[in-house]
Amino acid sequence: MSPDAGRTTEPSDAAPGLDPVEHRSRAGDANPSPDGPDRPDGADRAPTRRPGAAFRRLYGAGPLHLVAMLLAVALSVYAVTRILDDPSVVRIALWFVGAALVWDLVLGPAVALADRLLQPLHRVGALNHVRVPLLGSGLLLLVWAPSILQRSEGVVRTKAGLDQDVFLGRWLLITAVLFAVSAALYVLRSRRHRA
Amino acid sequence: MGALRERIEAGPGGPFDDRSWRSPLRGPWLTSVLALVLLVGLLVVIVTGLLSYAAYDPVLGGSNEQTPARGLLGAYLFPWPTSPAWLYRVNQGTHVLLGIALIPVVLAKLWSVAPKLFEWPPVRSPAQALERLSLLMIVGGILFLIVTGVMNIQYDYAWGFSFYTGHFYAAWVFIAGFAAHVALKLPVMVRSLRSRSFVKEMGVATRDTVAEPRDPDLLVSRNPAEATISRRGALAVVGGGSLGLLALSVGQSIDPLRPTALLSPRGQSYGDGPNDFQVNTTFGETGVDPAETGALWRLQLVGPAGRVVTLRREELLTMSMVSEELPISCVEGWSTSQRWTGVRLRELAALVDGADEDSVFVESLQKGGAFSTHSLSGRQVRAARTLLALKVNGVDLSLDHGFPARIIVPAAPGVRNTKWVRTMTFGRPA
Repeated sequence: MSPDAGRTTEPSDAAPGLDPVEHRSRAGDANPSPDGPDRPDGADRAPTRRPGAAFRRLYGAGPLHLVAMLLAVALSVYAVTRILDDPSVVRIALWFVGAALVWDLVLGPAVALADRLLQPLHRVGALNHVRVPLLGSGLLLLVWAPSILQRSEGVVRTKAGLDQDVFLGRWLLITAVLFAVSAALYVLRSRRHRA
Repeated sequence: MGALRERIEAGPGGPFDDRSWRSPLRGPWLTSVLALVLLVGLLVVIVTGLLSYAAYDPVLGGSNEQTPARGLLGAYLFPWPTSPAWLYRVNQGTHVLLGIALIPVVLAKLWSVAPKLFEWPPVRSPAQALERLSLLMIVGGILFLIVTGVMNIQYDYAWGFSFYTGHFYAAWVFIAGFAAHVALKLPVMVRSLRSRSFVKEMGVATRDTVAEPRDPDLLVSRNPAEATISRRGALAVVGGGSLGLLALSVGQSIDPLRPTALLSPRGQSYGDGPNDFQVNTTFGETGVDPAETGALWRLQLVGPAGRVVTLRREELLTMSMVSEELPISCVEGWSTSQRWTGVRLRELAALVDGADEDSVFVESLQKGGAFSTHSLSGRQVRAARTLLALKVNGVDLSLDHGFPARIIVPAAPGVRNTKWVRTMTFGRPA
């Protein structure tokens, strides 16, 4: 859950240009085969007579890898074709891909960015005392957003006979408690430090 | 041309530059710890999810079958049992509560492998291309299942498709990717977990936390920053998030703990009267005229040979009454146990010679709701604890809980306990 914990106190030497040699050597010393280092990839070495070496060179991994991938794709394609004539299939696909994109390209980077902004707190030993309650509060908001933001007030009323207006206050209260406990721990810790 | 190739090989920079990923915590060991938790946890979530589908007895058709195009994806279906009575309650409580508790672990796992998403070049071999596709199946799948599940239990249907359709077919896409991923990565996970002792690592403070040795999967930062939290601390944050979510949700499934489910829609109390427990379709939503539930109400029983018996509520009350403590357990994960009093369904079936049939088709006074008609299996009809309940906790059912009469079946999803029952046709498929 911890966002990118990297500190950026010293300027990063990562220029957008990059040196391609470094990258080539990275691709070389790393094993591109997902099977792990004990199954060397043929591309880096002289062709051997080991059976399957040519396959490995062309495909990039062993035959079992291909079997596993094809089985997975086959099952997925089967599942999708079952609802191909369902009018909701497009919406389902959009939410499926959208969920991955929103996390990978919006929420994940937003959390990392927020964490970068908090980094100066590390100097006074307060970083995790802000990070942890913030993450806790954010997590609760992420999970219970429909209730906290009263997005389904009407349905909850007619279906369950309940109200949604209690949740915002409760979430704020839990958030306040998280920060208060964290702040108290910070004070205790710094006092002990001084003593 | 050479310059262009160099530019392309260099990559677009930003997150595609692996030196921009600086957390010293990222590495195969940490990823594998999270992976192990997810391997076990998600297996339980998958199994309970598949069981939950079977619990509707989809082969009976009608509203029992919410995903009729299932084909071979329903090959595992089996007749749902009627005991132990807590079966569905525990199954679905586990599915939803564990699913919620695993959210921080899923997000932490995604964080731990995030640099892989921005690898440059994005595809180096057909194997890698296929693997990236399988990762979309897993990542899109798990996030889709979390989002639809979490929204569904909060009655937010913004996606605009049937929850059953979306959650069921996406689950199979996820299962496919998950199985392949586990098959390929299990050896890496085991090797990585063995690379250092968990207990020892839990004793390493932040100031002594350094990056793992560089790994073949390139998870470890090439340019690690100073650690601002230990692995112990990071795992504690993730585990604390899971426990916190669990603590704030478990009350929706355990009656005495209900007020502790502070953010769950099912943490709220209705009061302390005999009918003050969780409702999932209020009488007001049905559009039924209350007069239809009064003196005019008749229960119609139709037998397989066409025999029809019509009963008034007073007549039902003169039959032999039994009381059973049985839960209502929703697909949404919440549940509540109450004491129901009514007539055994098999006795009503016997009145029209329908007790040996494979199913009963139950119709409600409710008009148009997705579950206003529903079938029970022959096994459920014959189960001793299946009731047509007339009372709960010693008093008449309230209108919200199905007055004048409702079905209550042991071990089944709550929605199968049809309320405001009007007609029961034995041996008729939906």
